[in-house]
Amino acid sequence: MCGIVGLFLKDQSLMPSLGLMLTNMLITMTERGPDSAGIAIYDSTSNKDFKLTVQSGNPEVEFRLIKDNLSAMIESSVSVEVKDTHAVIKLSGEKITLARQALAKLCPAVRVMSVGEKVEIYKEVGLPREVVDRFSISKMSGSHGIGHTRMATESAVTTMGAHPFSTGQDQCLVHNGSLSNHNSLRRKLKRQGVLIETENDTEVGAAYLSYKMQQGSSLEEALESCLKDLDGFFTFVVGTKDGFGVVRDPIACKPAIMAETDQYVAFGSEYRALVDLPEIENAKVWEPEPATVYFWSH
Amino acid sequence: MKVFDLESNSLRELNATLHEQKSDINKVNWEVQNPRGKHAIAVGLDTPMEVRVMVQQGITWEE
Repeated sequence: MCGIVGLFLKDQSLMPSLGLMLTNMLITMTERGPDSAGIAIYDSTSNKDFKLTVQSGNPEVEFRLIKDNLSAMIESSVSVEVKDTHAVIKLSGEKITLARQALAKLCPAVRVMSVGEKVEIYKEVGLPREVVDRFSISKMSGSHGIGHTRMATESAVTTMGAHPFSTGQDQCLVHNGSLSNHNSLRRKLKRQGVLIETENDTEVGAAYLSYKMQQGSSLEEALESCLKDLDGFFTFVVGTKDGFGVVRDPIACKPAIMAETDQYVAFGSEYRALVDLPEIENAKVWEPEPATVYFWSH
Repeated sequence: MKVFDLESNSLRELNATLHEQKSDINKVNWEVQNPRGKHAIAVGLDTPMEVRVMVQQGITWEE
């Protein structure tokens, strides 16, 4: 099954409550995905810095190592904010590559969840309510965000198998469905030198999008080419620095509903994810078309 | 026609109320307001009756 929610704010006065609204939307999708949950949230308050969100299976030891050593290793100041198993490392954009190399040496088991000016990705195994509580998502502000609740079909229930998947700087992907040609596509992408870490089908979808964009496609073109190269069921929601996009496979058997008002654009796998949003009674509500790419941006 | 508002009463109360309908009385029509996307509305009915679920105004299902 899986559940997806997305919220893109047009009205800046709602930004302080983005995390709370997304949290409530995500929890309504628990029955669609009780295995793991994740959220990508875009906060526009830190334009000068870059953010690396990392996850650790041994946060006390590994985040201490990062706090004590990373700054000296990259010869630049960093700040490290620990949230449960995740930490947000803020640093200068020029130091990103160096910092990733340093992290790989310092604590190779630490996984990079996201990289970008705005995005932070948090995901863990467990019920959606428990996952969002661990990271205090409801207290976060931001301009837009997407969330996912997973009912696993194609691969194991692990943190790395949880969504969202990072597809590049400030970009991420969530997926409802199952890709049937992910093994052959994984082999093709690996031959092109693309790093794919898990047996998960969605990671292949994310790697495919990243690869297409490295080859010069825009995000919109990359999503269009999904319709040609991916086989199986998918409703994808992609997060970008400025907004989000939606695409569904040509049969579109995975549910999707959208709502738009003067204040926001919202996505839900089901209408009940949207019912607590402000002025939902007066929103334009519709089902996105199959094989059609939708985009909203600031 | 009887009206049942899911804003002020629970889904379990609605379904219990519908299940209590006896087959020997005249057919009663029900209108359910504020379903808010809930699942399992009017499930398991075994008595003929008409239950209308009033969805949000303005929802359009585009062809």
